[in-house]
Amino acid sequence: MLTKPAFAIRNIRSSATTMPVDIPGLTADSQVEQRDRVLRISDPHRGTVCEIRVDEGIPFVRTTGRGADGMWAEASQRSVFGLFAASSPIATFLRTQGANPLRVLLTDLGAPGPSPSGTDA
Amino acid sequence: MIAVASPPVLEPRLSPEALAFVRSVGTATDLPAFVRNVRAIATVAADLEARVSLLEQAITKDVALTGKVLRIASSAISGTGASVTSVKQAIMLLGYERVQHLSTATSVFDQIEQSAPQIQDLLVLSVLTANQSLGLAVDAGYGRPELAYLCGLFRNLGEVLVACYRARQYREWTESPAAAEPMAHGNEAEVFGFTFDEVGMALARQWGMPDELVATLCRVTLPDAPPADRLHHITQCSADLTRLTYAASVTAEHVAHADDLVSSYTRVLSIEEKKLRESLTSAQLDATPTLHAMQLTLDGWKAAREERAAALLQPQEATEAVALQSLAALCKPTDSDTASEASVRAAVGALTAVRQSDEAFTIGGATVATLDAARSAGYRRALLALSTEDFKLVRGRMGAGPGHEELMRSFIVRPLRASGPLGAALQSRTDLFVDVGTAEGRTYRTDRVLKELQSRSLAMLPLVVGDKLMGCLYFDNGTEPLEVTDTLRDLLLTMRDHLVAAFIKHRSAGVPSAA
Repeated sequence: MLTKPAFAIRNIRSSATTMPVDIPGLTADSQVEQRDRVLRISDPHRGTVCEIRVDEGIPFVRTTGRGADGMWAEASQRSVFGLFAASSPIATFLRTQGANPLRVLLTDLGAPGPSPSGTDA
Repeated sequence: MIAVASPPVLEPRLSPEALAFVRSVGTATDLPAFVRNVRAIATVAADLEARVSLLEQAITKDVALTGKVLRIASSAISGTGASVTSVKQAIMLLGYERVQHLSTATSVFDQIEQSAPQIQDLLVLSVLTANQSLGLAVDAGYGRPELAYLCGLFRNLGEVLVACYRARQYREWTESPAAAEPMAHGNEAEVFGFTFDEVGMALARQWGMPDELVATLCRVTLPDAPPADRLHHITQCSADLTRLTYAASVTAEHVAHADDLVSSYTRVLSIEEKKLRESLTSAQLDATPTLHAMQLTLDGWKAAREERAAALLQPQEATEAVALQSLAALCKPTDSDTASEASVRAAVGALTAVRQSDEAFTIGGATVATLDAARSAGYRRALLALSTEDFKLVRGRMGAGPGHEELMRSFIVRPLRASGPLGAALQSRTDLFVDVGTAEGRTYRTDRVLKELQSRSLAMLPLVVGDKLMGCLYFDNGTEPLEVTDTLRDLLLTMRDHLVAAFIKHRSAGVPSAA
């Protein structure tokens, strides 16, 4: 088994700025509501609302309410993969909004394509 | 550049070539300048206000990116009656992090889409495969359709990464007949030394992707009975059908293979054939939002892809026919020929005949004939020089005539204007016939390589395939002047064109042609 931590690539890159944020999974108490292009997941116990949206294929998340900063941040690939692996309704929302984890991965890698000189990276 | 925190433990079974590739992923240095600048903002500006200002400055330099950021910000507040009119306003509304990620992602993909359509092709195929997997999972009663979607999306991970990190080699591979075979699974190992699947699996595992996903990144044999690993078969069926359906040039063989696949998977996945075929259509519709995020439509992508495929094939065929027709007159001896012209003309005729026969037409044969022809034209030494793997140098590889060994050793030219007149000519792909002793040839006396070679009369003919400088031919005559008539020039240029045709033939046979 390989030991490199899950989606370390994203975390390394983002450490210079801000860590990506996990999208929380649904619980029995979660209330889900889609408003236009934003999915709102309320957690009445915590008193928070998590909002998710997808721009240009990239999932973003923010949490408002008790103790939350309310800032939009990029969703962590780890949590996005977890949602798809669990076939969560949140994954369905992400997909129908055009989320593309493969493209996000390539962006994180800084996938170069050919250089102007035609040489390989 | 992306740093790796600690050396990953890699699968012991990987071949040395696969291991080298896996280690190279993530070490790209050709990030767009915009991305480098934006990523550096956090290190040069301590407070958020300064970062916002720098990010705004970076984005507003790009009109298209500015429009995109404003559009996204406007959509975020749609229905409120408010409008977003500046990048700063958009950053405040969307958040610094979000705009930073959006703008860098856009920049990276703009670069990919402008310079490497084959990567875009793979990404579109991945999206179509993912949606096909989703549809099949639903129809087959597989309980985790979104996981099937994810597996389909990443099924070509290895190939996508090879296309990104071995771009030139991958482009040559896609243009080869071996890659065009309808079910060419694993053929790539002969070119790369590894299969796309093995490096895709290794990297997916290394990055901690879900085990179920990693397991679907290799081929699986079709069973006789309904299998336990349905997810794997759903993914493979989707990937294979998508490849066959959306091949750049669909042949009868593609259609036959697709029919066989539909028949096999109907049985394996216990789906009605009609439903399986319908899932292909619904995958197109379901792919729309994801393709939209890539600023693509399926029809637009298909049209562009077919156009590229046609451009790859037609000009070569047309050019070959026209070229050989036009040579007929040039090959006929004339009464006015000098002895050297007659000799070179005979060489042109002989090589033309070999090229027409096709089978014996090789780079080696064409090179020997061309170097001999240059000697027949009166040059004392003749040389074939080839570009290095990174195209940064052109150096001697094969020579003829007395003293050619020294010529081979000394002929190292950087194909850049800054390196001197020879480098400038190679950079601009200009044919040279120069007598350094004349007033016109005065410029060349300063060239470092020519000083070392002590060439008086020389010719340098670039070898260009597509837009790539594969190398050049170089002929010289020591300290003696040599009169090269227009006829001789035409004949030598024709020999050069034959040699280029041999390179193209070699490349289309699927063998990397760089030195």
